[in-house]
Amino acid sequence: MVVLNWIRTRIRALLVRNRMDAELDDEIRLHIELETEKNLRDGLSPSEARRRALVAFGGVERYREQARDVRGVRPLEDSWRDVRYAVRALLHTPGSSFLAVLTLALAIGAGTTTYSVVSAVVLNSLPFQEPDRLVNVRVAPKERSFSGGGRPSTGPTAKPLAGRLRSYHHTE
Amino acid sequence: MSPTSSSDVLQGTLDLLILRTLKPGSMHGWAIGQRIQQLSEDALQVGQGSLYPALHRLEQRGWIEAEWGTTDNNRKAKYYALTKPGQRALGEEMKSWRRFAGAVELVLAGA
Repeated sequence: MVVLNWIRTRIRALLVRNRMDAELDDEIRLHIELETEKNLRDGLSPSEARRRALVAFGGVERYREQARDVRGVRPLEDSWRDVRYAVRALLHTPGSSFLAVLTLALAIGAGTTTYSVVSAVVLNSLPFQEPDRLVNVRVAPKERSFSGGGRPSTGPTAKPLAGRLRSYHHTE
Repeated sequence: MSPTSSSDVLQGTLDLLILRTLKPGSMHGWAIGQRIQQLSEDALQVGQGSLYPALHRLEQRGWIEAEWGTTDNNRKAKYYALTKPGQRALGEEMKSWRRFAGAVELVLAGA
């Protein structure tokens, strides 16, 4: 209940910040007026009455800030101000901002690519029992060397070899 | 203007005084300050400005609630009223204040 109330007031405070500020200003203004009138009734001159009212209040701006702090949106307001400041600063020097963004983009791109390759080649080993002892047998026509060409012996091609390649543990 | 023996109101105490002042019915900020000063026979000077952070804090805590209304001479004012949790809190705060004041008094009398 209290927590809900807390969240609700804070959201409300953010959404209707200007209205709440205006309300607080109205509140403080009325207070100063009423105090001034009391001083007038006590027989002070209008200017002195108002001066004493302000003194008795003790720093309008200070208490206005404090009352706003209580609402607990100051950190949010401040960080929003920081973001706007950063954007303005970046727009002020578009060249170097562009370079910075480009550098970041390239660096992140290169990093991601490198990692993807390393991940595929090194980190995720092949789905066989002893991947380091794996060989690929190719069938090549007589007249061509073994160095290139030929088709990998998978499926139907490999089947007839299966029984005859005794040096190999398993073929598929 | 103010008596020399007047004491500034400490923060926690101010909350208690506000709650107690609102017990009979809702009031706006300035009237709360006046009432506290009047009830204490001018012995307690409430920093008038410090009322507002305190009021907003109590409102945040759900102990009081605010509503706009009009004063006797038709001016817009924000009226504060005790809530149910506020009434409970007032009871507890009063008890703990009296315990504290009584304890200090015991020490003073015994020394």
